[in-house]
Amino acid sequence: MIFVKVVMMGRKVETVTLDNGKTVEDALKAADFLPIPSGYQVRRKNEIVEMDDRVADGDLITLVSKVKAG
Amino acid sequence: MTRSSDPDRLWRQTDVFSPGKATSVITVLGAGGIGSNTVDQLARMGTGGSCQGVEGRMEVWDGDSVEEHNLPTQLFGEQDIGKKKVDALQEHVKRDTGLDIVPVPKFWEGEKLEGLVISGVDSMAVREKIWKEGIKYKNLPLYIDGRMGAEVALIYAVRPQDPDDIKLYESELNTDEESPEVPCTARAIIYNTKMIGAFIANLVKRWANGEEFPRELIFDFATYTFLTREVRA
Repeated sequence: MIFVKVVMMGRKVETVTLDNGKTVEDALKAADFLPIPSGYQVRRKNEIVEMDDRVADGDLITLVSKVKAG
Repeated sequence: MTRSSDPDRLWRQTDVFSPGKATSVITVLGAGGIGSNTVDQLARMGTGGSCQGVEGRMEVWDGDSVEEHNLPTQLFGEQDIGKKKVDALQEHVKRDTGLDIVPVPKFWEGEKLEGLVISGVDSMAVREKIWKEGIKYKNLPLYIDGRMGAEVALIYAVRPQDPDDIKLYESELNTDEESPEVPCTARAIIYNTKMIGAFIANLVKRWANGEEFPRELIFDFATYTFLTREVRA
């Protein structure tokens, strides 16, 4: 079992429990963050990741909101 | 020497930042939530004025006038409603620090930019124009681009001639359509605009002191997330 923190910026944060070998998409699904709202980009810590990349214990998956106001 | 950079006034920050280390010219595009709070903090730090024999200048561009809905998140007060934002900002900064900023009461349309450039504009289309026509490959020391949405802040610090900085920045230069739809009732709040001004002022200090600084800085008050991204050597 691994623990992954999943953040949707501007909205909420969840810590999910997953089996080893699960992916970014699995983590987002477990956090009930799918489908990803438009205007968000998925990152692990602060690096851009693919949905099928595997997650590891302690990972931080972040949905970054591409805000634009000044 | 202007009052804002007087060592007698700034002695509490002397070991942190000396305004003489910063570039003598700062250009700020936008005098809204990000721009007005950034200018206020930079002026209080002593930047943008003449210091140690070097003639300085802080130039602020914005064609908008102050409206009532600007008051909760921008530096302005009720007495400023109806004034051009840059003129009201000039009055505030002069009154509070003694510094004379240079107000330019129009939107930037491709004019040559000087010095350290900071943008706090409202659209990605304008950011793209600033980047392509005014910043990229130009002989400017640093470009800082602040963006916000409600409780989220994104800040980019770019050396305009550095290939790695350019690559990172352009990867985050999305279109307006790719930004999230945000209702006008969830766009800005004072603690975020103040925080963005603080981060930008800190980036100026880090750059001026020759310290490491992140090329991307992300902060979210809603989830208390704080992320930075560096450029690998």
